[in-house]
Amino acid sequence: MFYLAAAFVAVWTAVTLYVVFMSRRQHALEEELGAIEELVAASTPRDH
Amino acid sequence: MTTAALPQRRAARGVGRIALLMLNLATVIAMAALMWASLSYARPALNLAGDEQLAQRIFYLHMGCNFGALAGFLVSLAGSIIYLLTRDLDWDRATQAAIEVGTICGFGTIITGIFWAKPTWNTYWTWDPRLTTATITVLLYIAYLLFRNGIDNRLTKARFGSIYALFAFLSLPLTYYSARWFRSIHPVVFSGDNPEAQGDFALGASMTQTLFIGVIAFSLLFSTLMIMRFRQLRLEDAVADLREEIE
Repeated sequence: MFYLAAAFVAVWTAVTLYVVFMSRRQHALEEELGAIEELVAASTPRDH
Repeated sequence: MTTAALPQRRAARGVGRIALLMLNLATVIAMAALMWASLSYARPALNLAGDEQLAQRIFYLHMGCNFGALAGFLVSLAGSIIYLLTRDLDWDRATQAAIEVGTICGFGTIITGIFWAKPTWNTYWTWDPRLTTATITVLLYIAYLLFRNGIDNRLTKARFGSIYALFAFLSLPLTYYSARWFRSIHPVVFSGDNPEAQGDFALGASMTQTLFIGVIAFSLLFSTLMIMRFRQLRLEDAVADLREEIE
């Protein structure tokens, strides 16, 4: 039973870690994009 | 872009999101079906007993991972060739995403094999030709990801990555045929006609169906993860371009 459980846990852990990595990267990218948007908005001269 | 094209672009993006959501849902259902089939539906191997009989169920996950890895490395081969011909960075992103997911699946193939080997061969690891070539393949693709990260110039990274991925793919046929060409204790599942290869076996109906579910589930898992990572890599490049423009 140990070998069967260990194999399933190992594969699911690997997949989960990859999904977590992607999720954290996505979060960081969205934050960076938000910061760039703010920077662009601040540096754009207003018409009125 | 014209103002008239904007609603069309938004609509296409909406359809894309729904399609990705459906793919995610199909993957979850298929993976749940694989868990059920491999742990409950597939009949136990009658010629085995004890731990070895239980460990035989690892086979469905092992083969699924194997197909995921194969899909990843095949996509990377196509992606790198098309990138070198067209110089379209989307193909480089597809190659990277496919290799990342393929490597995860390749790691899954090796680790499930290790846990199957202990009760079957009485050892976690042996330097069998199949095991060795499979490990070399995964290490080659890990090296691809590490080397890529060491290059700053985006175009050099893409060119180097594509050429490397082409050569790394050569290890795949070697891995596939290793259990057929060399003296190997690894079972040959498909068209095993090498008398030197031991452990040839026949699958019952429920086993074949479970294997089929595994291949579909991992193909869906591979597609979902690859598409999501591809989109993320595209966003990463867009953010990098914006940052460069501002600086």
